[in-house]
Amino acid sequence: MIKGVVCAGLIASLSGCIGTLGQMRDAILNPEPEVEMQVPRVNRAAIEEADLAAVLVLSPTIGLGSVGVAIQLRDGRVIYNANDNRGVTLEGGLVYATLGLGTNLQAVTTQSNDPLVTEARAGAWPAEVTRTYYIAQRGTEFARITATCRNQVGRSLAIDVAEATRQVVEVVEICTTQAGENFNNIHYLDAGTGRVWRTSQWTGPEQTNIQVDVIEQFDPDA
Amino acid sequence: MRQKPHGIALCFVLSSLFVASAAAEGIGGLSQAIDTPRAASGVADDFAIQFDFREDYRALSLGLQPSDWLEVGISFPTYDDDTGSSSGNELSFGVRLLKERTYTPGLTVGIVGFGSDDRGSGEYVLASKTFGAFAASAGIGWGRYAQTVAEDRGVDDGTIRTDHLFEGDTAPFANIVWDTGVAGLVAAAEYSGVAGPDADETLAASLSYEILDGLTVTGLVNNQGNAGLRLQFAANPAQALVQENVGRGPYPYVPNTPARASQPQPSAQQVLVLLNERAEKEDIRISRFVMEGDTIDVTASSAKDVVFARTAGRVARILSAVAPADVTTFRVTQNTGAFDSNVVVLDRAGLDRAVGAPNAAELAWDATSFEARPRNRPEGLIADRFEPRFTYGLSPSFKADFITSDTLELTGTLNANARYTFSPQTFVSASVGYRFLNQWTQQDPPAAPQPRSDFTSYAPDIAFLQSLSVQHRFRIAPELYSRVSTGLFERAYGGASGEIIWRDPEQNFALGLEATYVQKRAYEGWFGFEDADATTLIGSLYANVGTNGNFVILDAGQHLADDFAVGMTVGRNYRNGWRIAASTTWSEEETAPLKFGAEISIPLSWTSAEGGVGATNLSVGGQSGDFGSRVSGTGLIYDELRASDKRRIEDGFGEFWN
Repeated sequence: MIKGVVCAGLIASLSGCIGTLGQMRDAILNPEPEVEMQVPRVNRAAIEEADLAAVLVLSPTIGLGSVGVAIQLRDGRVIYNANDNRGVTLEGGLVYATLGLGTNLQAVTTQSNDPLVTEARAGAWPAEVTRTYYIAQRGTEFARITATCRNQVGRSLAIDVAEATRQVVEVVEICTTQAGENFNNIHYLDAGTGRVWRTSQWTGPEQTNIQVDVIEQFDPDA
Repeated sequence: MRQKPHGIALCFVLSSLFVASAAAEGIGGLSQAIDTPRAASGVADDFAIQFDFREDYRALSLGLQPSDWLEVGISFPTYDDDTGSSSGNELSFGVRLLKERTYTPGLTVGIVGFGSDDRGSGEYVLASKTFGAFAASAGIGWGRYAQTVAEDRGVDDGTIRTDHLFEGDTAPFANIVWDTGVAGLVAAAEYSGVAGPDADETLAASLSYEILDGLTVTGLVNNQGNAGLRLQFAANPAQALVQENVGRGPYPYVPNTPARASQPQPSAQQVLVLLNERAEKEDIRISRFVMEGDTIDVTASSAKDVVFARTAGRVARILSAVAPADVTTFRVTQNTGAFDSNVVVLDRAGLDRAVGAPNAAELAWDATSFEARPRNRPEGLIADRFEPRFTYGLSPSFKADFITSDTLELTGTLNANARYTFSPQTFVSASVGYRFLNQWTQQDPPAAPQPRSDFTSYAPDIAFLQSLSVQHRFRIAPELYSRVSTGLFERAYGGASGEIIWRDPEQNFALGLEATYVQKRAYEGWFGFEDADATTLIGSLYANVGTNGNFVILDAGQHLADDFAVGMTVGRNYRNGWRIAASTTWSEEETAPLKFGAEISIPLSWTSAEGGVGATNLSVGGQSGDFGSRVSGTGLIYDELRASDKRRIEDGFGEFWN
């Protein structure tokens, strides 16, 4: 028995089992804090001076925020890239794809008159919109999740977007997937033009909602 | 919070030292509170391994969930009592008849130890309901759930009886499980109408702590003066493997537009510098680089990412931005250590069309082809210069085996391993073991050595030379891989072995042939031999079947007892790197299947803080019979090549752009 205890103690020391017990004690005495959001400071003046289209992207699931600048325009979609290659692709105001913000969204396809893509004014949105989300899975074919969203126009208000005040109209989308799961998107549209200044959009079952604040709008003619 | 993988296994053993005294038994791998059943509330593909340690009871249980409504438990309990010890193999089922709704309870029925007369067999019906963090179950039971020792159940004279099911005495039970929400702590309490030595009814309480993802340790105690420990590893291999460093994205892909052709083009050296710099940030190592004509040829590997498709995709992303416009093909070679196993050929124009599309992975796959590495290649701008090296380490191993027909007996061995690697293809290795846990009943050596059944005759309680051998792997032709090895392969055999495998990277199968001549090693001492030898000649078919990661391995040929035997292994490679397989063997010398075994391979990224492309391997069953056995430790090549199979790459191709 003594031999067994000595051997087990030796192996425990080598294996990290004692470390496990220590971690158990630490976890009981000092529970790990919830994920905290790290929001980077936005230097608006520098962005404006460089004449860059830029967005602030917040991923609550992994607690990361990033400032991305437009680096490519491909098929009418603007690709924004941030530190550590975190990125978001916007089609109008629709979050088309994400990278490095959790489990990634590969693509979203939608109907031709999707008001998020055309950036229609709040009152001009169709009653409902159907979108399909593409998520990586086993094999070469992405998993597809199709959701239908109905919208409600909410308050008119002023919001602060990266140190700039924007007059916006709130639009809430209540969405249901074909499997019966529900999620909400919230958009803050420019009161005059309908362009998106802030949006919180569902991007998949694991990554859930991503918030995008538009610091400087992309201007294809600039 | 994660811990070293071997720490997991060792904690199993350490915990057995702390067991106080006897308690009631678990329930055969099905969902349970403490020792009473609870609702079958898991989901399809849930999987659990459980060890119970009590003074008079120990059990290894496997829990599988083929569907959302069905649980299957396989348990190997050993009971000790005043009359000695008894063991059994229990097959159990739990069926969720009704799913819990907002206002109605769930309903579960279970049979533990079906067709068995073990004292652990019994049946139950229960209703269950969750209230926030509390889950409550209550029901009635038969057999072991109504009697201290279940009687008149199951097998009678070799006939599986069912007329006893849900018959005879009954007793009520109830339990409640509370997820405290604090640091993985779960508390449970239960009542059972079964009497014990100290009270007419049994009350029990337990506290569980999740040490790391999926690994739970539970301490339990009851009013009959008993206590015990339980360790459980639970996971769902169908769950996606969470990417390493989910907060970092890949480099943006830059399509090759005509405008780029008119710009100054980088030299090979400039491309290499940028590629190395960026790949390093992705934990990707470039060990060979050639830029010649319209092709860039690199050998790339990741020390952390098991999904080679993602590694190839990230290399392609970097090259898309830094390669000259006239480069049309990216060749990414996959290396296993000894072999370049694949050349993944990516058509740049095809990737340009794929990127960002809703079917981007399918389009990228269409732009991909596979080749064997040619024997002669142009010299690289960089190429690995291998430095001979000496490595060593300790590794514990545990074996749960059946020495007699149905007794589960555990051995635990600590191995000190050392290896000197002369080149990527050649190494000499040695392992010295010490058996620190031994539940075998040691036998004297037999008059004549036996192929396997004499393995309890090997001397215990001393350090022994487990293996000492040299291996050389080499390629005969682009699609022919070979290996020769010689030395002491395992505790029981030493000799010489040769193997050849044909494997076309474009195909989903491979063929292998291994010839081995061995001498039986001495029961005592490190280097001696007994007067017995054997020759084996075994052909193998390795096939990936279908699109769900299923595979079949068929082995046929002359085995250690000079018998012709056929072995079959079926299993599944999960998307997240898990591998689960079961095997059986038939021999011409026996009419019934000889043995069953199961193995589970879990990626280190699930069990180790450091992650990595290796795996933790667990196995149940083994080669304890004389027929249908082969020599282990010779170094089968396919074990090294399997991760490079085209189907494995295809499985991961959804991650190509991630």
